[in-house]
Amino acid sequence: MSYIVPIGPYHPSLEEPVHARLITEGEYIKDAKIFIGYNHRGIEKLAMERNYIQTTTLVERVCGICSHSHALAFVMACEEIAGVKPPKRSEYINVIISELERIHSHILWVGVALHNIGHDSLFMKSWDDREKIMDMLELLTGNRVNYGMAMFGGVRKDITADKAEQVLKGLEEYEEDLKTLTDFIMNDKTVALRTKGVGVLTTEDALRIGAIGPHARASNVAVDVRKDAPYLVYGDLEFNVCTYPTCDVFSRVVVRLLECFESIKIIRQAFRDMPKGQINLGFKIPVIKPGESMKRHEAPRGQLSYFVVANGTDKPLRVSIHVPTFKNAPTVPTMLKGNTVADAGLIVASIDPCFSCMDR
Amino acid sequence: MQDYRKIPIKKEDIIPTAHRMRKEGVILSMIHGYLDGENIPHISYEYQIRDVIESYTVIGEWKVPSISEIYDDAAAWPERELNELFGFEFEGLDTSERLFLPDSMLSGQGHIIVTPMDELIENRYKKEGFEQ
Repeated sequence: MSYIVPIGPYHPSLEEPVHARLITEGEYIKDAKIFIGYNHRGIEKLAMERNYIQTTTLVERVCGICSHSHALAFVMACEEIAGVKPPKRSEYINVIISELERIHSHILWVGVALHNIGHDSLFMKSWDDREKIMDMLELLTGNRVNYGMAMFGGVRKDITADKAEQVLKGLEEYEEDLKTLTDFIMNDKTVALRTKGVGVLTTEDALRIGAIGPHARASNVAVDVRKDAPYLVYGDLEFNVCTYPTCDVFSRVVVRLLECFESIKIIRQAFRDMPKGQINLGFKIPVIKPGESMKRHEAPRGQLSYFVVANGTDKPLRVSIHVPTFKNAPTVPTMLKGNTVADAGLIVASIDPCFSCMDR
Repeated sequence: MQDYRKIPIKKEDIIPTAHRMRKEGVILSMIHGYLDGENIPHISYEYQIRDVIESYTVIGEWKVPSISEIYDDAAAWPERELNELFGFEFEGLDTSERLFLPDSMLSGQGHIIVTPMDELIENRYKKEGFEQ
């Protein structure tokens, strides 16, 4: 017998709203539809009514997890239109903050996934370890989220030698924790039973639907803006694009864990190579000449793009924000098909969705 | 380095461009749209070719053909978004259900909200003395 099972919109698998409608045969999902928009705040419209400084602050609040990514991508697009080249040191600082943000975002998701499969001891360990990264972000920026670092023409705060030393020491400790966590996850029977072969998104489907970020990389598609279209100083840094071939939820966990190691590698190189000098060009409220640009940034969940149209005033004419979840969410119905209703929550969560980002 | 190239095209070129890009395995990064200062619509198709974004832009058209048959949901979702938020029409796009929030939520159907939103709005108007 066929049933329609509604899931959400209130906290279906993580604490953000989305509505999924599952068409089931017995306990198996035959088809599914996703409905979004429950967190729409009209941020793109608000951006048209604020100057560039206010808009930077506004877009940073699109998402609490990848807040720096939003501000950074917006600022990069504005700088491109204005023809402004920020100081090199600011680019290294932006890389450091971006990679710390990636680690905390990935581990946050790994914790949610572990919680969804009922492995709460590993969930608590992963989030406990993550606090070290949050402390580093607080040390460098003054905030745990919404860092306020990216600004037009550079960054707002410098990283002193003392703080750099503390972060590098903290990373050494954290790397050991991460190794332990990875070891647990790779060899745990419960994790394997609940994630292997579940929510498969084949490479062909990932390419067809246009999946991006770690979600695509877990389907063995090697896309990464940092490599494909280098920006800031990513072109000067050595790191690997992590892919995994099993295309299931387990694959998504593994890719994110491996990426954390790569991020640590990037941060160490950034501290090593960061030149001395100014950190911003001292702009107040910029007036940007007419033009348009689109800048891409590899946010923790994948490619984040900001399309900005300037009209020669101190306010943008259009700020169009396109986030990784908007590209990855359409893959959910494909992944749900053939799985059981019991796994639906985990599969929805496996794209590491940010509905706050997606709804804007 | 990231590069952005704007290429003006006509409405008739949208489908052949999408077919060519799909055949070459190019990723459709996004479909953007906006109204300029004179209320003229701009719809741009951003294809990402490694480090270059080729932005094929149609200006002055409110109704354009949908490329959702060619690029699947990678095109359907942005097209539905532009349809719902700007009113641009995409010929051939399935708009039978809304992408952002179902229509039924305003009448309190389903499990989304309990109190019908239209009643709440009506009460507020009555209280504040405005006409609907």
